[in-house]
Amino acid sequence: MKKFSIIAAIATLFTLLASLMASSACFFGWYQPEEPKTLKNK
Amino acid sequence: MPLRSKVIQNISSRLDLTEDQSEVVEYGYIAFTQILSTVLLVSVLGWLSGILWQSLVVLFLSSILRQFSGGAHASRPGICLLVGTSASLLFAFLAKLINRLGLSLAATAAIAAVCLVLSYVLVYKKAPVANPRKPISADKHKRMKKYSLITLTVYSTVASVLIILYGYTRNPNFAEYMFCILFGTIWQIFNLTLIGHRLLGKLDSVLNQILFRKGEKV
Repeated sequence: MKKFSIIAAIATLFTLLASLMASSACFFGWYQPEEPKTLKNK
Repeated sequence: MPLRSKVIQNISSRLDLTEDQSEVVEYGYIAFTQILSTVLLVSVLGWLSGILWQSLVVLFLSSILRQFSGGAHASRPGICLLVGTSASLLFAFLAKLINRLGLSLAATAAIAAVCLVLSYVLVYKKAPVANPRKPISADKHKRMKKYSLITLTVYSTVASVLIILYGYTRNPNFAEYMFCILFGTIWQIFNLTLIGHRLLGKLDSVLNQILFRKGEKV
């Protein structure tokens, strides 16, 4: 159960970061990966 | 199987994520590793060179402005790490070097004014610069330009305060950090220009040939 919560927390963190990057004009650094379909035009 | 795929597969299977959800988590994972690796490498090399805070200021300020203004990109994460780290260290070192020249207050203020006015003009004309992998809609274009100008205004205000403090106290640290703000901004603005795109494109292809000629990724 505890391991599941940690993984869920990590997935939440990654999702938040993904949303933040999608709402910007580009990625944090000098490399722009392909944006997921569901985050396009955010 | 690469580490990234293993991590994402593990998270997806344990949380029973759909393909779309996995893609989003993977995008966030790339962002996380990119931020962490760049900050760690700049911190370690900056600390070893005695310019830790200066290089972090350059890195964060250029990256924050980049979030809203876009610009030239590297073709691989490894090249991105190399270019981002080198630029942050180089400009932090330059800020330290220029500060050691002991420029007068008037000269420091004049350099700052020229750089910031140029930055405003280029951001107003060019930002945001889209990428084939990250197209920007017309609505978002307006929003990003506005945010870029706001960010630039915050940087200009902090730089002006540092110049005033330098004038009053003659403490060289104020001028040094002002130059860090200036160089971080100019480096990002350079990424918006055509010449910046061409130069970084050339650098990218040279690094690709040197580092990845056997088709291996770092």
